[in-house]
Amino acid sequence: MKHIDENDLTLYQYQEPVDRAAIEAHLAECASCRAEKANLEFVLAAVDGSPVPERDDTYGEQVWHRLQPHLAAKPAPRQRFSWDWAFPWQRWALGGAVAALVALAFVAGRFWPRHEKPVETAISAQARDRILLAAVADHVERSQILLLALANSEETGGDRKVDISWEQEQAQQLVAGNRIYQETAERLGEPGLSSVLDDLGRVLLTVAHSPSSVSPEELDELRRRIESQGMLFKMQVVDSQLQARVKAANRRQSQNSL
Amino acid sequence: MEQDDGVVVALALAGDSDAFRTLVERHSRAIFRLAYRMTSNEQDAEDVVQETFLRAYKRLKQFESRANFGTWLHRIAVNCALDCMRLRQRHDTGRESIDAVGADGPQPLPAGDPLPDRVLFSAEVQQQIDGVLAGLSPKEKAAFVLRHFEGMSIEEISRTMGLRSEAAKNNIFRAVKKLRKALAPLTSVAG
Repeated sequence: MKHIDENDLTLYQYQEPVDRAAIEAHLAECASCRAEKANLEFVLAAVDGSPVPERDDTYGEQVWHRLQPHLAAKPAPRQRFSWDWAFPWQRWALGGAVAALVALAFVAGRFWPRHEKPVETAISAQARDRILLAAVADHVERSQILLLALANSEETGGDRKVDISWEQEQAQQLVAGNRIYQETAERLGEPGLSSVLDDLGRVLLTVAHSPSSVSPEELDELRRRIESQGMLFKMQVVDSQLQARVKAANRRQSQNSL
Repeated sequence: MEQDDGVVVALALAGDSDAFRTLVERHSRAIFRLAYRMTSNEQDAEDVVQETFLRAYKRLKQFESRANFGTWLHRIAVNCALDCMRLRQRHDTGRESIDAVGADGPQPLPAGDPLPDRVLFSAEVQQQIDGVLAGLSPKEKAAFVLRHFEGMSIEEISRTMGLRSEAAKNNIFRAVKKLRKALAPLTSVAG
């Protein structure tokens, strides 16, 4: 006797389209499948018991009070990024901008004509390298999140359009920093990192210059272009290398400070 | 009488500052529940609630009055939660993977032992469920939460998550299989 497929049983349990009559006829005859069904019912009922922290009737009001200052700071929908948002990647945006300035200062410091008399710097070269590494790692991580968000953009409304305005804004913000990091990496003799950042720059420019609302077909094309360059994989590799270097640099720093 | 969401959205777009507040107050609890189910973390869920309303505010012009505002908002919340979960996953390297849970599983109770106290048994079941849910991939978890807790059909889930129907289905199947595998030793005792 052919038993009921586990997936069909799941569909049956969730009232999804499946041959219910055939399943019920089989269940009437098969004790083993009835036991399977009982087991599935137990598991799903147990999941129902998972608690969610209670939020009382005033919760909506509390959310509004937290939200209101941020909305007030936004003059109109579809405006550019607001710096005081609470989500981590938005805080990173500020961090990224600061990091880009640090990187710029770093590059300027290396190539600016030097005074004859050395000037005491506030931070050591090692600390500067550490800051730059952390800034590039942060930039790569933010870019990865952008590409992942793009891979998951959803269709909104009934006009078969996908809103990628958030991704577009993120890309616009990342483009300038990317150029600085790429040039810095090249000058510091990091061809691998420079090459990945160069590829990333082209992807960011494509996203930044895309319309804020695209058709699913256009989005697929955009995703294909990203995938064809193996961008996400390259980013993951670079990210893990950078994270390891940041950790090593931090370790060195803490050893030196002991 | 409570105004329809579509009317309130139209008022918000026309510049009525209290209208968006009404939408926030009306939908916050449902979005928090969804966000918590997906992230399994209270602070992350609060962040997702906030981010959801910020994105909704920003995209309000794109909302079509013939659509359901709650569904539209849920769609935004799911994507905010997915972003949050991916971020969390990347940073949460110490988390026990589902494969580890599946491989070792809960220790089966010795045959012949008396059934444990009901409360302890429930706690054990809950612990296993929490472990499995925490170890699901963001897509598996989102699809399962939307099907199981939000009661969305697979078609709705595929639209919400931007997946093909088969992909949405497979994510749910994988989540259910993992739950069943992790709870197998306990369900055999309970059965």
